[in-house]
Amino acid sequence: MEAIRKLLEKNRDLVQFSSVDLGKKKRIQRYDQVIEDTFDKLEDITTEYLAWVAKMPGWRLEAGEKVFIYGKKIAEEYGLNLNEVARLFNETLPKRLRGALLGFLVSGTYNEIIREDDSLLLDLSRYGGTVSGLGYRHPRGRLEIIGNRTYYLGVSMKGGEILLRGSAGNHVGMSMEGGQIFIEGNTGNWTGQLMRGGVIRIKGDAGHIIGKKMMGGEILIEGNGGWWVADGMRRGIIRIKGLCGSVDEERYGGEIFQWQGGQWKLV
Amino acid sequence: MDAPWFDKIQPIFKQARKDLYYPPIVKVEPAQIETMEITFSGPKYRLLVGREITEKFSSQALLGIFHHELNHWVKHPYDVRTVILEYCWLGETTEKDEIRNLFDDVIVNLDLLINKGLREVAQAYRELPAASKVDRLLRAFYSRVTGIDFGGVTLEAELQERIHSLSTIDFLDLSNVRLKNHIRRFAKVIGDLLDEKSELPFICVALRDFGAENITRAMESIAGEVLPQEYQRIAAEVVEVLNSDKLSVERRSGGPGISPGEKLRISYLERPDISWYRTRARRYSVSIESLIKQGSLYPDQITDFELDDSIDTFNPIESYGKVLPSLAKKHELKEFERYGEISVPDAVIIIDSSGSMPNPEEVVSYAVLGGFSLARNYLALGARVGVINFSNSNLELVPTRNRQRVYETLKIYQGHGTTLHIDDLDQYVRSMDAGGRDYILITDAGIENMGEVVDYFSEVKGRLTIIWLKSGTEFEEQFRENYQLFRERLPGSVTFAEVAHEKDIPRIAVGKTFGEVYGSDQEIIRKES
Repeated sequence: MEAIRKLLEKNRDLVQFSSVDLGKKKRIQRYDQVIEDTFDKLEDITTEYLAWVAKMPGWRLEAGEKVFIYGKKIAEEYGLNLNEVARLFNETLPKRLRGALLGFLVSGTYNEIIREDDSLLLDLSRYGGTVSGLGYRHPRGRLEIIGNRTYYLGVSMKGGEILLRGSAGNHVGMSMEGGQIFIEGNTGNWTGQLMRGGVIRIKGDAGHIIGKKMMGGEILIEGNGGWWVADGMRRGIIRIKGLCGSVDEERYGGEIFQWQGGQWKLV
Repeated sequence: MDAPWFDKIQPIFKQARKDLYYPPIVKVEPAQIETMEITFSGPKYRLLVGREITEKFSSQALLGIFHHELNHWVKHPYDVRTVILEYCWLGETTEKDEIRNLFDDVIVNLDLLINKGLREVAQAYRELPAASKVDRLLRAFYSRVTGIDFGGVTLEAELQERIHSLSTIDFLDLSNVRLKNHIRRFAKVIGDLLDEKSELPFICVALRDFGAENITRAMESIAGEVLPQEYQRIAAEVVEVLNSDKLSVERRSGGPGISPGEKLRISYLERPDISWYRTRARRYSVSIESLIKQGSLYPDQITDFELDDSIDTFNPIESYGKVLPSLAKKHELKEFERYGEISVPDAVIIIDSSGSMPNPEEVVSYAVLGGFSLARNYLALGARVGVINFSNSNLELVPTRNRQRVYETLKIYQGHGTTLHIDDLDQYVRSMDAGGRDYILITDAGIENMGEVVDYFSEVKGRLTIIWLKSGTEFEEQFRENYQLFRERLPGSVTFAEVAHEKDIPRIAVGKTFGEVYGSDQEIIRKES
């Protein structure tokens, strides 16, 4: 004790607590008054993304994967939470972008942070063009989308749920592995292509080439289906309540049911 | 020794160190020319101070200058990594070194004045008249933010507007995303004011002032954070800077620098595509079971711990509990008299680089990353590594300890069909000397001559490990069937590993499953013989 007392007597400034540093408090107050911080991380992300995506040649599904990885990196770098992802998609991005690969970007941003009981609401009505890649590799939780301009919805989806309040374009549920996609409107062509698991349920009509090379899972169409159903299908189930065109002859397996006389009948 | 000079400077330097809680810049030395510099090379940093500066400034101003320079170490930029990133974030901007230094100075000064309450740096400004527009602008900005006099500057209306622009930047928020945004905005505000030379006594650090070791370590750190393409862009900029003749950065004091900086050629940065994977692969250790083990090792002596060393040899007591460069120590292991060689055989990595595999230039290729991890681990154990890179043709490298050649051959992307030419492979195997050898096949199993390959590997002498890259493409079902064929027809001694994500790479095991090594196993299936 004596040694400590002597040490403190010799060095009176040795023990200083920031909680009693009133000078620092005043300095910070002044700093905060003068500095009008205009940094907006969502705007910053948009600027960064625009600069990055401008260098990307053409658009293929491989480009979607790149955009998705970029989205994951951005989310980690900026420490995004689910509310910020929703604001980014619904408010910030539509001011400067018409759509295109944004779905892949947003899917990347929420991929790691969404939890089982989380829900993310995305509004497509603010975009002038189509948005591709929403729900790409969707892992868990619920994704609710309002609007009609989405292509490549739920590609390689792993789990969770996607609800589309509107109609979708082509390639819904491509390479899907798990989870459920509910569509209140119609879908375009190639629904459930290469699907391996999970459920796609469509309240309206589906376009042509349903379940091409399908290897598992189930597609339920409450409306009509187009031509060339189950082209190259190997496994899984397709159910069509309304009318449909030809069932492709190049089918290796799987089951196709049609609603006839008040019950499902195997085609 | 210059006793009067030391008598004046030493107490001030000691006070500055004390004020900043003793940063590890422990020595101050006189320089023969008019400048100040912190050298970042060597285990103990030192501050070089120009003799004329000690005559020009009062003690209080000198204390302020010391505070400023030491705070660059304490607060910002702190490390070479940040210097490199800031430089690259400025993109196409001209005068990048000048802007970066001014930006770092603003952060350091505001931190001293606002957070630390050390006002002496303002005295240094007061004792030196403002000579340039940018100097006046920043002094006025400091005054506005702190209320302290920085030499009583007056600004014309055009510069007043810029003060407002500077006031929208929160310089004290140093998170990465903020720094990137802030330095770019700062550059926009002051970019066109840099035609006049500033007379401030502070050091102007450029990339070429840093040693190769520091830059290497910084680039390794950056590789862990960014994707391959971005890393390549950054590395290209660094190489350009280091090789450029135009980058003789003039000191703001007007005189030449203490260390003009020799041109650094960091060879590995000239292949950033490879250095990214090499650095990333350092994160992963794969388990390689030795064939024979007859004894054990004992700690023989204490030596410096290197980044590549196994953490098992780290000596926490001699390292004071810290894994810091130049400080950390390890046990050098030596064998007992009856110790027999740990027999880790040479390895031949057969890597698929066909069109169905991801192009490592465009996305992170787990095949290449896994290959690098395996090669690194074998080489670290003293074994040699050979490579067969196959697509339309087999590109071959006979087993060697030349890391660079191994990595280069693993990284090649042919991007064509997928035929493993068995005749060539057989000739390659026969050309090697006798003895045990590990064969590791890394593929998505989209191999066109599957039957031939299975037949060949059924009879191969040596341990075989098959690493299946799940492709996620429309062909995956067919590839899965091929992979099943491997598992059904190859002998029970073969080890199988499935890789779908980067996190699967540490699960790769050669000769023994991850589960056998670490107690649980979900992903890797080994056929028990």
